Amino acid sequence: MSAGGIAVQLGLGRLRGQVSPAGRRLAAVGAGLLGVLFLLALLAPLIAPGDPSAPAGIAYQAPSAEYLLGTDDVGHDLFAMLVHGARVSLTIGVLSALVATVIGLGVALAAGWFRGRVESVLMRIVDLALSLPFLVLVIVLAAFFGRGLVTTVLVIAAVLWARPARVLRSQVIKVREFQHVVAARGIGASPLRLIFRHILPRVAPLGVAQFVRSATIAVLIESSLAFLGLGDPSRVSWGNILFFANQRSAFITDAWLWWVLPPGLALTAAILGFAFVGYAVEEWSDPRLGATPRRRARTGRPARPEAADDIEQAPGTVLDVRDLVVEYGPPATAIRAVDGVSFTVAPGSIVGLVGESGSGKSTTAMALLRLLPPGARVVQGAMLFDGRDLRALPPSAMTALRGRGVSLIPQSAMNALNPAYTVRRQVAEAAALLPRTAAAADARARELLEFVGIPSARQDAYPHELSGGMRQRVVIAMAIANEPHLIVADEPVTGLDVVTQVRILRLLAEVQERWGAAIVLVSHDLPLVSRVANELVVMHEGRIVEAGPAAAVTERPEHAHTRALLAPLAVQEGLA
Amino acid sequence: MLRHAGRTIAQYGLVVAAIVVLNFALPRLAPGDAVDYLIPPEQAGTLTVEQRDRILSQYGLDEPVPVQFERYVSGLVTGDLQSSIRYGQPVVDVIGERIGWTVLLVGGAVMLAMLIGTLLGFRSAWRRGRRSDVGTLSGVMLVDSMPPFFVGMLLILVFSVALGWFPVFGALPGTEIAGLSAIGEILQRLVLPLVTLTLAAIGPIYLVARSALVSELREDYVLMARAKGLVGRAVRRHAQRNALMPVVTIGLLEVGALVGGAAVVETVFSYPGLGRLIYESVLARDYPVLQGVFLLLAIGVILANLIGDLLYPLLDPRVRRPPAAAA
Amino acid sequence: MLRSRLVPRSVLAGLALAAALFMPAAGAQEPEQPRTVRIAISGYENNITPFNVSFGAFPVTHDLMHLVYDSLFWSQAKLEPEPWLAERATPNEDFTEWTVELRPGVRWHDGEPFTAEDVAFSFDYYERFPELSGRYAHHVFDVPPLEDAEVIDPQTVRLTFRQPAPQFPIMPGADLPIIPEHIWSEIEDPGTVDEELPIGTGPFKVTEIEPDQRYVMEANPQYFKGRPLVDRIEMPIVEDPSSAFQALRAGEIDQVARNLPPELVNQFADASGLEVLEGTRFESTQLYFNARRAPWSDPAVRKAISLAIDSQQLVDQVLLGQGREGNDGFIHPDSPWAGENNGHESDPQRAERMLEEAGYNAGSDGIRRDERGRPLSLEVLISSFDPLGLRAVEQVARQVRRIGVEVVPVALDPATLRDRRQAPEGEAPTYDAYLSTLETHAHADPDSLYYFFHSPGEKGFGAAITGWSNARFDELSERATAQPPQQRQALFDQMQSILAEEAPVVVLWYPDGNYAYRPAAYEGWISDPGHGIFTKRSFLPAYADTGAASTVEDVGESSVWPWVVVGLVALVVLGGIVAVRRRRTEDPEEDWGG
Repeated sequence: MSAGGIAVQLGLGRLRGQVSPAGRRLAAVGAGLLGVLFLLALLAPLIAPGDPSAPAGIAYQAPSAEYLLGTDDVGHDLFAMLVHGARVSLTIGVLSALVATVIGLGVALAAGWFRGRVESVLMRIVDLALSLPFLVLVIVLAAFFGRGLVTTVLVIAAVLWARPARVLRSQVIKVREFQHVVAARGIGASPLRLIFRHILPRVAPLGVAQFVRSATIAVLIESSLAFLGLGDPSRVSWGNILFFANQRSAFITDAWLWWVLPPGLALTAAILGFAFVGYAVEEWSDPRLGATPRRRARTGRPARPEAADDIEQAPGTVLDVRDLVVEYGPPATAIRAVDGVSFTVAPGSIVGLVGESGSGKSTTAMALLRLLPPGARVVQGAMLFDGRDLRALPPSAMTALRGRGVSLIPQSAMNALNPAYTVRRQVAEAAALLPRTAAAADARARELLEFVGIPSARQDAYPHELSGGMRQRVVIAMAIANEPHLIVADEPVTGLDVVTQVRILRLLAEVQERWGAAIVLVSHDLPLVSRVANELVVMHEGRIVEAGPAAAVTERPEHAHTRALLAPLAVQEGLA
Repeated sequence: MLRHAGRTIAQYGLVVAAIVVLNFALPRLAPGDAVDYLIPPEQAGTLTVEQRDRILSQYGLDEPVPVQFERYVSGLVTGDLQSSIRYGQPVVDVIGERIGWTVLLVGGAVMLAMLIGTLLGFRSAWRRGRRSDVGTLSGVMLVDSMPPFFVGMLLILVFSVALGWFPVFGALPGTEIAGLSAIGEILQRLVLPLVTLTLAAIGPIYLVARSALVSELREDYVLMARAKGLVGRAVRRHAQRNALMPVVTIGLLEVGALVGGAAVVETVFSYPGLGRLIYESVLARDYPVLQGVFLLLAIGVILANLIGDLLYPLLDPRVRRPPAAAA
Repeated sequence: MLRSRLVPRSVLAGLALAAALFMPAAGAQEPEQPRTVRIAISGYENNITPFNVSFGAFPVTHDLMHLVYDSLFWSQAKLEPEPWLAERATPNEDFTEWTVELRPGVRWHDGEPFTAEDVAFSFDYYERFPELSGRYAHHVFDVPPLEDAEVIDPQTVRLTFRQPAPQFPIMPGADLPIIPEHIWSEIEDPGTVDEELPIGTGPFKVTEIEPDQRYVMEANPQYFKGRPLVDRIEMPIVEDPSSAFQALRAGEIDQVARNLPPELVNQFADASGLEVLEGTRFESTQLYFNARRAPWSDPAVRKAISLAIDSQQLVDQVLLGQGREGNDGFIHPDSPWAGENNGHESDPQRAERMLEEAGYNAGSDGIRRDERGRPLSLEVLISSFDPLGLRAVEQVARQVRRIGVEVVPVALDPATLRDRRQAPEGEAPTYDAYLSTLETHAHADPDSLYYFFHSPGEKGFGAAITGWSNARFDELSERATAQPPQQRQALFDQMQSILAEEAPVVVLWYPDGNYAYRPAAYEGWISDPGHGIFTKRSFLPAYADTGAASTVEDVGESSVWPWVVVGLVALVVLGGIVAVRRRRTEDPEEDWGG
């Protein structure tokens, strides 16, 4: 079986869930194309027996039953040439890509493992190889070593290896710093063992992606070389068929229909096949690209839930969550992140939603804004806000509500700000949502920033120029820009130093006092939250284990987990 | 900071130096020399050894390689690029006559490809997974998979021969045509090669633009932008701004690759660009021209990096204004 | 009402416009428009001087140059060339001295008078820079070797040679371009090209050179053979033959100065607006053995291979019948020097017998071995840019395999190929065989057999061709160089028999010359043996097919359509941008939850 096919299998084997449906579809088409072509190549002696380079009949024949694609300028059977050409073109493509990837991987491992001088020397060589005039290289190499199959493979590999080397090196460096690799290094495992046991398996997916990508380029280069007259004219390949077609005027006669189109399309199909498969493999291997089941699969999409007419929002609450269930993953193997959560928030109150990581508290928070991460969905329950069920709102209504009715203070303000814009601009952008003139929005932004404690001198700063605490303040300013009734603050103080944590919490309390907004304060830090919260809801494994007035919960915790969350750090660790 | 810049410059310097050396060495490694090419085929044997040596000495090719190298390097420094063996003209002139066409063709193709590729890529990323995204994605990959010479010849077949809309070959207008209509004809002759090259260049730009925006869209600030109530275009603008950087990087990389890579397209359309000059000079073992063009390309690579360095701060304030000491 | 009035008015306007358009055509004899002919050539030739042409437009380079320059006689493909710049040339008794009387009143393109000084200077100059005048110089320093060029009076020059030069009017008389002294006397480095345009006496002067793109030439109105029938020649350089013929078919050019590929002959002959004229350039394609390398040094092996080759089949298969089979005596059958017994002997049985007798027995794989057990495996070097040649070797391999000899084609770029053919002085090169293509000069030059096949050494350049040596041939060929035509022909016949017997070279075929043109642009093309139709005589009133040279103008197609397309493309692009911008308002992320 060909390496391309293996790549496909490798890819498909672990694709599920990681590759987007589009990627899967492309991979299927690509694998199909390649499958047909490889089969053609494999079965060439059966489909078109005999030597394809032996003249079969009269030259320049149009397609007929005998010669499906007619004959070329000296009477070769073009169909036989096409079928046998698949062997050469695909072999060269796959072999060159394989050689290039192996060389690239070797260089990447050496550079990434040894770092330092070895790395800088190797990477400069890579830079050099990337900027080399490749035509010259090809002619020089071909002149020395001839134009045989092996030479061609090596020449193309010599042109191709640098890119995989560069891409794979950064992956090697990343993997090298993984905890367990560092640990293994620490206990003195041999480099070879480390490389083969720990690094190679993690670099391999990217290597496969690079291999497939190289194969597309290799097929293209082989055909271009043949077309330019730099190939071996006695080798039956697609590029070679095109070379003779062009040289023997196929484009001027009708012959191009059967002489030029089939090999041209075969080339296109092969390259496209590799490209499609490569795309999917890349998604699979690159966590940044892959895993985008942003949207539910077409079939599994549940109907928009009916508005919960029969459920009345509990009087005197700004938010009434009932029996909320959120699941991740495909329906069959879904994991329940939130499992029947119900709680209410009184206007102007602060409700602390507390639990350790994985308890479902953040998922609950994001469900309120309907900004659940990809793959997650609300399957049951209601979220009543101002008398309407958030779950059932049409998208446009939900959009209209965000920032105005419900707003978010997200986890890690570090990343919640766009690095490309000044903070004032980002706040003004939020402020402009209520119909305001640009000037009014700007004035509002200044006022808000002033309120959260960003002096006007720093308001034109870019996010990266501000400290973590200040960034959190900016985010708060954005959240309150349009005086929402409910603010969902998801771990607003995580990652800040203790002094800043207290200050930010104090600011939140101020916000609540000044605008009377209710706040759902999500955190793992029960003692800290209990300083400001009126009510506490403690979650564990997707369920509420304890709820009640803050004082009551902290003073008389009933559930073991509540107690654990309350306990000093040392105790918590012991418990874990 | 300064130290870093210094090291970067030093590294670039080394790369350029290595390119300069390789450009000298590579063509000379190929069998045969300019005389092999210069003498017409039927007269291959006319020359006695002495005559051959005299030709070689005329181009300084009889000197020991170190002397040739020294002359080459000092020529580079003083801007004297010697004379082309094939054209008998100073290399500067030979290149000068073609560089305009290359700028027109390759420059135009890169700009068009950047524009279209970025627009399509961003659009795809925004609508990823949808039918239009998958359609665009497969369409672009299909176009990208067609060998440029194949595309070029089909375009000639359809638009030049069948429809007669565009000329088959060349860059220059006919001699009777002057003034504005001459410019018109130059543009008309540019269309097909430009389209071919653009189609060949669009793929990588599209893919980079798409994946850059896809990963930007997953950033927290996009979530925040939604959470604060932004919709549609406003959210997309946030992410696009940050996705531009890799697109610019790949675009600049493509410039260098396309100048040489255009050789095939220039051959198909008989277009007088640098790619074809490289190709033919390699065949002719015209070392001075090769050295000149490669020097130009090396300068081009440096320039592209420079342009990148100038553009990045505009695109990313983190580069423009590095974080203050404040933590 | 309004509408009905509008229609007739527009019809009237249309009629007026049509009348305006047709009037000049109907009114015929208005001051004639300059007649431009667009001819695609295949390569760049610098500024078309004998020292700068790179033979990139091979095989028509010589004729291209002779549009600008003239020689004393014309042309080399005739046994008795016609006086051209010379009025007559008279030899002394032993042909060592030629007194050339020049045509009076001839001027260079820049207006300077052409005199005997120029002729004497030219001969001296070619001799002074032999290495730079490549193709031309050996006819001045080798055969015949120039001793002196002496100006007798402004119209007369005497050329003295160190050996009898009975063929002087042909070679170098009908070959060497005469260059102007007032320009070249100051040029010490003829190989460099300054910006200047070439100055000759020829029927056309170069007015524009765009490197690698085109030449433009204008008629020399004072040309001594009459004002050329074409006022301007635009010569775009189209290297890719397919593009060139495509452009011819599309009407972008009027002639392609290269042989119409066999596969297009019928199609172009039938196409409307195109005509095909036959006219051979004495082209040939041949296989040269390295006669200094065993086993190819064995005449029996070479001859056996030659016998195994079925030349007619190659013509049928590769040239689609558009050519003639090879001649074992090498010279083109249409050349004035072709021998009596033309043709190629093909006899595989005899070939096998010869190899048996010489002791080359087949191994288990069917390939014969020499006495040291090495297989008879012939590596044929061939330019990878010669598709017909590549195909030919493919077929030859098949034919020769039948007598137990293997042929391995090795495609190389031309410079590498020539490098492989070379060897350090005094050593034999290491290739087995190579394929090459020749044109007129090789078959019309009465001394070509001497040059090509003389044993390696001081004389000729046989060392660089095959390295074959044969004392008898050497003697005959040296003797022939000094003989007048009749005696020479007899020697030639003997030389050609030796060639046929020993087969240092096997001519695979002589292609027919077929040249296509658009008669609407110019109809005067003539078929000039040894030149095809792209030659100066095609443009001269005394020779051109004047009966046909009417003044039909090829009305170029209106170029509105391309602009419509450009406009449409621009619209689509703009529309796309607008659409993309519009669509942005729709936010696909919007219905996640739920």
